[in-house]
This record gives sequence, structure tokens and C-alpha cells, in this order.
Amino acid sequence: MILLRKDIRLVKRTQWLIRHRWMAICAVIIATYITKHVLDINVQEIAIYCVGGFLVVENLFALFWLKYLLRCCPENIYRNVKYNINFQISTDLIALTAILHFSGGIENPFFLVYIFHMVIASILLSEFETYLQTTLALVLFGLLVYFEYSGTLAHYCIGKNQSIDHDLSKDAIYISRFYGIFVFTCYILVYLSGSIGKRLRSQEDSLSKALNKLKHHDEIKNEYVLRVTHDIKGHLAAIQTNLSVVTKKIMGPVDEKQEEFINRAYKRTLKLTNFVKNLLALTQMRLSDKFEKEVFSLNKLLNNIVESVKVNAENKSIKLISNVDPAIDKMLGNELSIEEVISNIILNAIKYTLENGEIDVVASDKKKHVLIEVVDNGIGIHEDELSQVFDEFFRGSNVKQITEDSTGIGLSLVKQIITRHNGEIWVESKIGEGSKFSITLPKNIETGNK
Amino acid sequence: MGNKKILIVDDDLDLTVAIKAILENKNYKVITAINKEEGWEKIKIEKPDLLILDVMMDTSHEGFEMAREIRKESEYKDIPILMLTSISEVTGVNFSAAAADPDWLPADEYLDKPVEPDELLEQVQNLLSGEE
Repeated sequence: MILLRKDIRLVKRTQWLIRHRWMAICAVIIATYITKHVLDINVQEIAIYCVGGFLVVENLFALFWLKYLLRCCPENIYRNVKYNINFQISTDLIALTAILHFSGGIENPFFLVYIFHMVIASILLSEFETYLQTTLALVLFGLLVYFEYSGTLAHYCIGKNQSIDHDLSKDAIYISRFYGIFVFTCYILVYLSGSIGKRLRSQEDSLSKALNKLKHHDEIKNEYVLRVTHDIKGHLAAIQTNLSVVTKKIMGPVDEKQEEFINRAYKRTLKLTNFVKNLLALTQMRLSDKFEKEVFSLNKLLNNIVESVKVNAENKSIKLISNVDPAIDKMLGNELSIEEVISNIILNAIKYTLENGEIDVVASDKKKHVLIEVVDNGIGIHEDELSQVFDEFFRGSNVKQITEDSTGIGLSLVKQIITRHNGEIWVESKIGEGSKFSITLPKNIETGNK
Repeated sequence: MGNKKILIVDDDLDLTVAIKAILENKNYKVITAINKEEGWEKIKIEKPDLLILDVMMDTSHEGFEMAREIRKESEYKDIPILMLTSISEVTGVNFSAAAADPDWLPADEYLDKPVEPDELLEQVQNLLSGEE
């Protein structure tokens, strides 16, 4: 059984409540100690420590209860966790009332802590439950004040001088005015925070619904693209192979003029095939959850790639310098797609660097990850286009002068692959001066392993 | 080259015609079939030296099925098989890696469509010379 989003949210908030109670317990104990021994104010120290102990027991109980709920009965988790929260807040209120009793009752401004519980209740519980908890708090506080007034409970005066002539706890007019205003304030507060909370919750729900809907639509779109591109690829394969029969003059010679046109058609088909292949790979990657990973030598891979693209650089008299840190060794990932990424970036650099230019490929070991940088002194990218470089179908405005080959998919595929490996890719560039593509790839492997 | 006999099983007639032309140009004798059923008939009658199978025909893995069936027949199990794929992106199968596992994918070589004449001829030649 999978927990719903709202269940997870509630469980997390309950855990948050339990965590914060530990802090509150420490705060109570420290505050009591300081009040008694530093400020020399008369509080019932031992009794308050006992209440602290009670809170520890309560918190442990709430914690184990929650764990039990998560393990045993996830089907009714939402309702059961709410019981747990109600229990926590009610016992907190009782403990707080006890602490107040042992530290001066109505004289102690600490009574404001009731408000915390009301706010917490309005965040975590329903409107009805919040009003119930608020009423419980007010009844408990009211009873405390009343019993101290009537003498049923002892009043522990916190004044340094026990025989002060005006004991607030015995002043009926003061108590009733004070208590009345407190009740009024609390209900207004709960009403306000409750309505804000409700609005936030409903916004959160509608946002998450919208997000799910978007994800679903995106998936449908991707499946559609996959199907269409796959069909296109089938036709393209037939066209290209048939054209190749003519361009390779398998059926005999073609006259020069005709050959020119056939070659044009053939080249365009190659480009289109390439485009469709990349689009398929990108869409496939977006749709599939699984991604096969294996351990491979990144060092070897990088050197192989540089070796295999050297010809392309030499054809344009570009100096391709590579500097791969020998400390780089194995990583866990999909070797084929990493190869695709690196060669794509280097081939791009070659494509957009003019003759006699220079390209540096630097790979450095950063313990947990590897940093790969490809720096060229090519045509560069316009500053305002930098943020779109990895977008699908985006082509830089200065690309057309150099090549017609760009599909605008290569770099989005690259980005997708890097993201799949939990890596990062970014680009820095200056128009006319060159570009620098940087990639970080986590090794996902324990050093010394294998 | 010799007059080796090659059977192409592929439902895309346009592609088959082109592949046939490329192979016949190198003096191979080429027979074609458009599905598994016809493929089996031609295997039995013509006893080809090499099979070129398309993965996707009537079903998305008919070529695989046929290759597995061939591997089970003692009479034909040694015929080299070249599998034409255009679905590596769709199925997510890495064919060249899978080729190392003959039980799972029973072909000897894999060639991604579109078929380049030089590549095709090289593969065919390798498979036929390996057979001897």
C-alpha cells in the first residue's frame, strides 16, 4: 500500500512535532533551573522536572505509536495519525497546565504557550478538532485559575517575597477580565490561523494535482513523439538504403548532373535520420524509468573518444589537446550514453571552431566526482542565448553561418543523460572568443572498490 | 565471393529491394520473404547460407522468434543470422552487448537500419567466411 501525498505530509508533520517536543522539554528544564537558581524566583522545581519526565514518556509513546501505525496499518494512516496528534496536543496541554500551576498560575506569563498549541493544532488538525483542543486548553487554564482562586489548589506565588499584599490569583475581577480576554483572543486566533491554513492546504492540493496532470500530459506527448518518430525512421531507413544503391553506383553509373541531385537528397536523408535517431533517444530516455548502469573506466573512455575524434579536428587543422587526470578511474553509469555526451560536446566544439583553432579537453578528479571541461576558441554563443543552449530544438543565431547540420537536439540529449547520472552541465561563452562546457559526473562508486 | 545464397526476411519491400540490389551486385544469390511463415518455407526449399532477418514484422519481435526457432532446429541451427534492427531506441536493448548472450538474442550480428551498403557487405562477408 502506497501512502498518499497528504498522508506523507501529515506523518512528516507529526514527526516534526515529536522532534520539537524534545527541544521544548529541554527548554522547560533549563528555564526552570535558571529561574530557580540564577534568577532566584520561587518555582516548584522538582514538581516541574516531574512534569518534564511525564513529557518524555508522552513523546516516546507518541513516537512508537507513529512507528507502529506506519508499519502495521497504512490503510487508515490518515485518521490514525490524527488520533496520535490529538493525543500529543491534549497531553501537552495537561502538562503545560501542571507546569503553570507549579510556577505561579495566573502570575506566570508562560500561559501564552497555550497559543503555540492552538496554532500547531490549526496547522495539523481539522477545524473542529482545533476548536476542541482550544476549548480543552481554555477549560484547563480556567479550572487552574479557579481552583487556585478558590483555594482548592495551592497557589505557588512566584514573587520573591511570599507575603505580597496584592495576590493576583485571589483578585476575582482581575481574573475574570483577564481570563475573558484570553478566551476571546484565543478563539479569534484559531479562527484566523485555521482559515489561512485551510487556504494553504487547498492551494497545495490543487498545485500538486496540476503538477500531476502536467506530468501525465507530458508523458502522453512523449509517447506520441516516440511513435511518430519511430514510424518516420522506418520510412527513412528504406529511402536512405535505396538512395545509397544509386550513390554507390551499384546499379551502374549515373550521369554527373543526376549524381549531384541524388547526393543532395542522400545527404539530407542522412541528416534527417540522425535527427530522428537523436529525437528517439531523447524521448525514450524521458519515458523510461530504468537506466542500465555498469562500472566502466572513465579514463579509458575519455582517451578513446579523444582519439576517435582527432581526425575531425585534424581535418580543420584544429589543435585538440587533452589532459585526462590519471587518477580518474572507474565510475558507475551508462557507458554508451556517457560516450555520446562527451563526443557530442567535443564534436560540437570542433564544428564551431574555425580552422587553426584550439580545443582543450581537461578532465580532473574531484574525489567523489569528475569534472570534465571542453574549452574552444570558436565562434562562441550570444550571452542572451546561453540559458537556452540545452533547450530542445534551440539553435544559436550564429550557428547557421557555420553549418546546416545542427538539429538542436544534441545538447538536450546531453543534458538529459547528465541529469540521469545526477551530474551537472553548464556553459560559459563569449561571442567571438569561444565557449567552455563543464560537466560534473558523480562516480557513484566507493574509492578503492574494484 | 562465390554464389552464396542469402535469404532476406523483411516486410518492408522497399528496403528488401535495395538490400537485394546491393547483395546481387556482389554476386550473391538473394531470395526474399515477407514474414516468418514464408521465411520458413524458403529456408526449407532453398537452404540458404545466410539469413537476414528484420526484427519487427507482423509483431514487434517476429524476427527474434524466428531466429530462436531456427536455433532449435538441428538442420538449420548453424545458418548465420544477421538481424536488422530499427528498434534499439524503442526497446532500449543494447544489441551489440546483447549479442554476447546467444541464449537471449540468437542472432550472430546486428545491423541498425538504415543499412549502409559497405557495412552490410562487410558483415555478410564476415558471417559467410566464418561459417566455412
